[in-house]
Amino acid sequence: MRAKVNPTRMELTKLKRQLSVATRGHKLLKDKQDEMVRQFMLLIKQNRELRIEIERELQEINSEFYKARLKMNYQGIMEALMIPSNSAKIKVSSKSIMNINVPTLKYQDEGNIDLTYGFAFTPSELDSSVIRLSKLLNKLILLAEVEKSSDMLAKEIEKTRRRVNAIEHVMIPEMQESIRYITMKLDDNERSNIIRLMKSKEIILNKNN
Amino acid sequence: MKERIDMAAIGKEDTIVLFNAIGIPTFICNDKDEADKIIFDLTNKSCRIIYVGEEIYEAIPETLDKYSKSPFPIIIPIPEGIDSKGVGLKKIKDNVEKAIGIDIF
Repeated sequence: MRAKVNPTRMELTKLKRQLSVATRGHKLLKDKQDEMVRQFMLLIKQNRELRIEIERELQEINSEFYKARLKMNYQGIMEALMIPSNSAKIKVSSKSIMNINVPTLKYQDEGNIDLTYGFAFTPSELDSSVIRLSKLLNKLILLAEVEKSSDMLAKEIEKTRRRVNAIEHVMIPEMQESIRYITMKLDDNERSNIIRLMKSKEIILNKNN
Repeated sequence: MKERIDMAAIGKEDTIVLFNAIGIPTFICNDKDEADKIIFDLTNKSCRIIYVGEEIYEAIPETLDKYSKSPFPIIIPIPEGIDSKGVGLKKIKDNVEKAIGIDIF
């Protein structure tokens, strides 16, 4: 669909300028999208590997915890796990991937974990599951970071793609159509002008003869 | 609790209590309204990462949507119990489809 435009020279130059801007914008956005997809592929691969690894590990930890729970009463376990050995702290900053601010997290490791409960009444499975989980913590934090980054990237890629498509398939064709219409109209005017001149010249010549 | 919380875990089953032992405060909750409220409170305490058990994660899409636009808190699903429902992997799949158009894994 062609937008309603006045077939004037001024409109034509305006449209031509707009078209060149749109083409340049389209190219830039396309490049941005390509780069984001590349970054996204790297992230999502890492994300997938981490996710699979962590899920497997967590399942094993949980099954060990179940074993511990069989050997001990519920209150006892809850009591043993009530007090944290150290509070997990993370350092937060952000980095920019193609102008999207994604979070980066850093776990502040405070050395090895101490078990804060007495060993007399707790089964060994509980100890090992807690220790294994504490070793997994680093990866859990990395997973959070990677997963959030790929989340945000995916959203941005979708948005950019929509923009690229809108420019490529709607805006640019519309402008080209308008430019064509204006040039045709202007040419037509030119031609009719010439014909008018020719005609009047003929009439004048006839009169003089 | 005036202390700032960096990470937290929410789950339905008591396996989540293990996180308590390594310094991550845990919350056991059963329905989605409760989970929503806990997440809201945690966000106000500037919590960065919230690990949510898969079952609850699936039940609170509106809450997740609300926090997905800002960089924090990061809410990610973790398996509870001894088998995973694959919620995390499904999320990865969705992301790939959203970004590229087809699932390539």
